[in-house]
Amino acid sequence: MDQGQTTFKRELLAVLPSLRAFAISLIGRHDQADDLVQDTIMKAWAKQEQFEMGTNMKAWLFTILRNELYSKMRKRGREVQDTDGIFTENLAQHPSQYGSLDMQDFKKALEKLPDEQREAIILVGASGFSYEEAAEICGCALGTIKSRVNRARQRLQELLKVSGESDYGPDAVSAPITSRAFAS
Amino acid sequence: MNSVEKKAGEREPLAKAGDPNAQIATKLRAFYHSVQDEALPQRFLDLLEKLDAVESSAQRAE
Repeated sequence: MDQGQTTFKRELLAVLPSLRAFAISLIGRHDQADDLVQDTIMKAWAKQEQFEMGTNMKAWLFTILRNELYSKMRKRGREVQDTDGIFTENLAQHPSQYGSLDMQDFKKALEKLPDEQREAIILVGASGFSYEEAAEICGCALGTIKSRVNRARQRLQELLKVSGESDYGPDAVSAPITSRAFAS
Repeated sequence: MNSVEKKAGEREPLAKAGDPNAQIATKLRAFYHSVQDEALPQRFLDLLEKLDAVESSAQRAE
């Protein structure tokens, strides 16, 4: 086995836990996310000649996974089918998996976000990418990523009711936004 | 001697606890890391072994 291949495999393995967490956070289901991660590994392996050692393997893999996901969604025409009980299973899925009720509430709120807001806040807020890297992964402008992250934060605050208004009084930044949102 | 030195890599809290953005950020990271800390499914390790084996035998055949 040549040296390059061993290094590639080792680096890929090191990124896998985070890549899988990204997939599960995006999709909300372990089984579908793991299928996506498996497809991503195979794609990445086939394209490993294109990867320059020493550059950002994590960003490269996340980009492949994201492209795989969206091309799958396009193929499916984004139809919402419950043939395999996605939604019913979601409600009942492993209640102990995320520990507290709090965590389950958060997962549900995350699922309610539009896809592009969800991926933006995950990449920047949890996967550890800079805004610039996230923009590159999503193939969009820096300003677009920033506004998606901001909107995701506001929406999550509304969904989880952590605006802080009741406990701390409305703050200058979020109060106009939340009151506008509730007025409309 | 300062015995309360911070360990390297230990993070400062990003904002005070009452800040709603900090609460969201904390919950998001907790959720993500709970998944990231799960054991990697064996199927991925098996897959990488298989890909490795296929490639090695292809190279030998060349």
